[in-house]
Amino acid sequence: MTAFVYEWERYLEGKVQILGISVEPPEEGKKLLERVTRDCQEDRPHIPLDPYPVRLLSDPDATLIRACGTENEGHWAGTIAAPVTYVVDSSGKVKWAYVSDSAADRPSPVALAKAACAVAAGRETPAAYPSK
Amino acid sequence: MAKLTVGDQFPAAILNDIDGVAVNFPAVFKNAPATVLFFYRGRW
Repeated sequence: MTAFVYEWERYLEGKVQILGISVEPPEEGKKLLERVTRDCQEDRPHIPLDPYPVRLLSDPDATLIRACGTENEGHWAGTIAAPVTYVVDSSGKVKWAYVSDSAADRPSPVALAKAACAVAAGRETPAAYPSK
Repeated sequence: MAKLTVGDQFPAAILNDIDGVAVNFPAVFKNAPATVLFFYRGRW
């Protein structure tokens, strides 16, 4: 996600909001955000990412996670969210989706940025964009 | 496989962000022309 944030800073600021959802409690989300903010500042000090442009939400009972069908009930830690990424338009309609095979499998930051740009501009996301 | 897919309307729900602010779905999508929303286990 950090790589996508760099794309966001270059092309998408003001057009795209970024939301992240997990079952983790807010304290863990705060630690995560502090860590990625620090990493970004060390990695790219010339990019002002403070506050870090990701809003993390806590879904401790996996209510929304289940409503979206993105739950992983079989994890050793209990029910967690499967790694899925969506681009949603301002009406709440899903315009692009990437269902990861694992936590390490995330969409290309450039492909995700292109899809988000298209949706922000009111265009359809071309079928050629990697999406699954 | 996620049930929610391209063309679907995002379901309604209210969650809190990590600062305790309530976030209403799908109303939150009106905050920007587009939203990137990702589900994560933690520590991506």
